Amino acid sequence: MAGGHSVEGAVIVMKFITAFANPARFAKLAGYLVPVCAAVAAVFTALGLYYAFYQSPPDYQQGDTVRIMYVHVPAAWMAMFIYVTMAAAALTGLVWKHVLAELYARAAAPVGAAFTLICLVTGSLWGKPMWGTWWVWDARLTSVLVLFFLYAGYIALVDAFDDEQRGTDAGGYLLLLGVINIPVIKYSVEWWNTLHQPAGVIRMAGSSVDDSMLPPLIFMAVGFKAFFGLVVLLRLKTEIARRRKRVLS
Amino acid sequence: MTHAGYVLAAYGFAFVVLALVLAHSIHAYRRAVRK
Repeated sequence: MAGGHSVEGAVIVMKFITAFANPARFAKLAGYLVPVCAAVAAVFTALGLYYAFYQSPPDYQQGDTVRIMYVHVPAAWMAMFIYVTMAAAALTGLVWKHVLAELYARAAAPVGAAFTLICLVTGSLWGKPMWGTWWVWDARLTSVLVLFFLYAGYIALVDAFDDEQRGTDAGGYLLLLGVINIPVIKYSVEWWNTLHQPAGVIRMAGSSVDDSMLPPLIFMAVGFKAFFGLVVLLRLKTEIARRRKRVLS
Repeated sequence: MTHAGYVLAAYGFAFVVLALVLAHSIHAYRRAVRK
């Protein structure tokens, strides 16, 4: 029965959420996951680079410049993915006072900002030879710039209060408000006339990207996800160790 | 700049930023766990 399954599913999710509310248990799990993430990130990024430079063909119109796609698109996916996970964590933190969820948003923010910056700069370096300009104020580029400002604003806001909890809560509300920008980024290329091209891979009608160009995109996307896992686990462990020190001192 | 130059600049920038993020995270972790 579908209803029964969804109740069981919700129970499993709640058990998972409560199990990792315990920072000591989480730190132990993170100890196992860090080397796994590091290995996956190294292998898949190396594979991605190999395919991006040696196995994928130059584009019939863009030539070798198309290879920028294999770093630009996975970075853009990460920029949006990290923001959505941070907003979900903020909601979990605000509703259930889940300590790790609050720490997660703090730990992930600089990594999300870095991927957004990479997306913007690599896009600019792709735009100059292909469009003849570094930047245009079209809907896609502008909404991604807004995403970067949301990350920067969150990072500034959470540390702007003497009371750390107030900073975390204020940052959480900002994340929830800013989540409206994610569908705007995704659908900007359909809602408005943009210089930026429409979605090529993640779209209802299936991928329009040539098969020879998919492996480097997917390898890099997996490599970036694992890299994010590695860095965010390290940053979470850092935050837990810092708080433990503060309590003991 | 040639097309290859743009490609190398894009990859160079991306991986320098990721290396800095990783280095900062490792540095902060080591400092936090130091007795």
